[in-house]
Amino acid sequence: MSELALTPADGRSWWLPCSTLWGVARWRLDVDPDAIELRLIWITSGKGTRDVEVVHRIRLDQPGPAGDREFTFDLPEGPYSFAGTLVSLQWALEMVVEPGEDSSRLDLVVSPTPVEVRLAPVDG
Amino acid sequence: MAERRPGKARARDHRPAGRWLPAHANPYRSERVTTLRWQGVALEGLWTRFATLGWRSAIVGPHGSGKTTLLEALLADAPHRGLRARMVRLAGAPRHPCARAMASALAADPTIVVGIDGGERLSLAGRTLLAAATRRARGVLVTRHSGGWLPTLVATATSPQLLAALVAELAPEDAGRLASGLPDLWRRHQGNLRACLGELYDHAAGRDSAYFVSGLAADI
Amino acid sequence: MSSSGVRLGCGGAAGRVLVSLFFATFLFAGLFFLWMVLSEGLHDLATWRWREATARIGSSRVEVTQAGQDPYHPVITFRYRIDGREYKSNRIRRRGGGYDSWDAAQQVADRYPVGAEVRCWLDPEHPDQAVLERSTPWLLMVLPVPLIFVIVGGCGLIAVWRRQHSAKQPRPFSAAATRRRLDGRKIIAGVGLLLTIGGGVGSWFLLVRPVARLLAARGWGEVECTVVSSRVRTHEGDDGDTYSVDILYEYRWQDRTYRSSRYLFLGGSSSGAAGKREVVAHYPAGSRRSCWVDPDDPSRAVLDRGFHAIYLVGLVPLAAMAGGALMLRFGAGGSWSGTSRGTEAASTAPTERRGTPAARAVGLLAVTLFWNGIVAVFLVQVIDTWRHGHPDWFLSIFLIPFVLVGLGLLAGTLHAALAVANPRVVLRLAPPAPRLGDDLAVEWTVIGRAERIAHLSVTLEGRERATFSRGTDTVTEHQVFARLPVAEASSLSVARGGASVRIPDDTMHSFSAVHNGIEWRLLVRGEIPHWPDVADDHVLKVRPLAANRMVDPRKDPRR
Repeated sequence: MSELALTPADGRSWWLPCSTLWGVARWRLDVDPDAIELRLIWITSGKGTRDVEVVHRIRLDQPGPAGDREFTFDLPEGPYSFAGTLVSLQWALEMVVEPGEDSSRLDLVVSPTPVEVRLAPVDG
Repeated sequence: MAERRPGKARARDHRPAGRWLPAHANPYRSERVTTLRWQGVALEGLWTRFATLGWRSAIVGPHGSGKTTLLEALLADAPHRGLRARMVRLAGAPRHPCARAMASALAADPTIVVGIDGGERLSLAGRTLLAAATRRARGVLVTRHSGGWLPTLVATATSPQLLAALVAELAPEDAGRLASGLPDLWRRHQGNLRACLGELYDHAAGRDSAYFVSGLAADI
Repeated sequence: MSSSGVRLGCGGAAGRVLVSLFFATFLFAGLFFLWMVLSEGLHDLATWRWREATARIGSSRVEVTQAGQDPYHPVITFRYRIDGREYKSNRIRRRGGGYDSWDAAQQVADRYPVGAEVRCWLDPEHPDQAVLERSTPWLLMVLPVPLIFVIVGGCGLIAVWRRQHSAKQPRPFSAAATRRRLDGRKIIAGVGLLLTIGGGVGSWFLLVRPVARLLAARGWGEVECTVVSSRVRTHEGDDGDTYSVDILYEYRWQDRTYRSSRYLFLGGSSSGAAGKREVVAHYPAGSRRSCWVDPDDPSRAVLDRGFHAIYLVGLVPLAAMAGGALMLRFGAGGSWSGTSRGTEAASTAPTERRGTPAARAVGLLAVTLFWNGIVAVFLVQVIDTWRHGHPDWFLSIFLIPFVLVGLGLLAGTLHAALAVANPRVVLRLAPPAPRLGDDLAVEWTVIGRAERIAHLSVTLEGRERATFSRGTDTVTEHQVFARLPVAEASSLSVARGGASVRIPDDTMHSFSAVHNGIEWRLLVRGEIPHWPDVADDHVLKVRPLAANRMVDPRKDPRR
């Protein structure tokens, strides 16, 4: 049974922009993978076609079937995590095993405030 | 000659107070709509017919009737039949897609089935280029608004029942409440499911207008 | 269940019939003219298969008829023998006709001096019908014109009655504006190309060639001439009669007598008979006047080699060519808006203005010219039927919606053109690239007649942008999430002023991705009574919160 786990420091899910995101990636796999890639991404959600951007990635070649690895990512100034009427943007950490489709995802909030920025509509 | 000033209310801007849903929680958001499964004729029968038509045919239907969804379903099913599939999306592309770009996207692999989404965008020159670029491909399947160029594999059509089924899949908690308004919604958009789901998105987000008096709003 | 909001596609059967009649008119008119052009063109072409024979010129002269628009006729008689029989003919070409100037007719007559042996061609089926010149089927080059009508009419009929798969969808009921990207560039480029070509051809004939001859005539010799005839010629037209000066004069050059009817280097006719009568009165028949003769070609002469205001008419096609070139540039590669999407991140300027009034006016003008040009063709016919007392009721009623659309377009163009003359509002911002939480100072200066603006407002607006595909269309929707008044000014304080607004620190900064984004804009609105208002949108890049303003409570030592 494969196990993939992303554990941010202190179990935090909220990070300030321009801060350093760090934590531990753990994997326990049934087969020896070719590579494991950690990706820091943001994705949009809503009425418009989805946009995805991989902001940073860390590639581990021949990582072995099991291991722990600390990771650090420098978070950019933006975009913030936000929730609007037509568009929302969410940050996430992904761990992807190659080859195959095994992956793990950890949602994050990157914002000056502990929750995503809310953009309630204005009438008229 | 005063122009409309910012902030001036328009009749369509009326919004019921206290109802707002952020985009990522809206059950009709685009990434959920694009993952809707094909709910029509069984794929097995379509593959048989595709072979009968010489592996060159078109999926024909009006806007928002599920042509792209069916094409994606068929191409996703191709590996189960020992075939490889490649999708080329012309919707949103320039009117005359670069021939070289199209040819490079299409391999001369005899096992490949090429799916062209948005075939109505191809001019006569584009169709000629496509035929040349795919002459060695195993199969070519094109979505179009109307037939004539290639034999029709299937003509997609929608119905209020199909819309209700999609709503039940996307927002099961709302399906009962919205059921009575869906036939009218389907008729107003002349069967275009994409437009229906777009309006349902707005309804869920609290972007209704005062004009929108029938059907959905009345059920709130 | 209420059925409000139910719509029929394409206006139902009645609408289809009406639209079909419109396209059928195009189709049948096109077919009729196509048949006429094709028929005449093929007959002209047939002369190139006629038998050749040798003819002897019996007489060669130019005759003047008082009636008709082209009163100068070269009259050539010739004899020829074929299959042992002799025939006589006076046909120069298959289709006869006169010329509007003596010079042109004389040029033809000069090609066939009396006694000369020349070639002639005769219809093998009618050997008594021979011509001196075979007709070049230039008429066939006009074929594309009626063909366009046939294609438009035929395709229109097919499109109306073909099964509707792509009926236009009703506009969604959502609050925010739904903006479709309307690409009129191709139409504008097409119209621009036509104008450029037409203007170029017109400039050549109405400006370049006459002015070149005018300049060359400075070296011509002056001789005395005798006025043979002098009159104002009337040219009947659908839009009313026009007039031209028709003076035939005779002169001698190196012991040879010539005739000419060239008055100015610019021919043609125009309205206004009074001025022409004055000219004709100055050259009564029998009077002796001066004329100027080209020493290199004494058959060419002119009565008046001075510059007249009429030569300025050549500036009209030149302006059309310039306008067409501008439209071609806009349509082929220009941008409608002052900016293009996606430049916010790359641009160093903090604000960018969208949609210049001039661009809007040019675009509307192109569409108006195209639409009204086509409608005018039919409208003239309709008016003519009313003038002659036999009104065409059907066509009159049929044209009403098209005329109304044309009038609307005209009003819109006028509105946009008036807006070009509006005063401009220039903004200065401090800081130029603000962050969330900053106090944004906005100074405005009105360039132009600021006193025309009764009320000015500046508003800071934040909105979401979401783009998605709907069939073959790309649709962009917006939703406003912030609207902050910055400044309001009336009358005396409109010309110059300043204000500030705090950009909230708990909202979203500017962000742009391919399909989604957050946009901030400064909306400038200036109300001008009885005139198009000033309406400018300035995109503002709002940067994220400054790092030193972000506090992580988890790091607060007091916690």
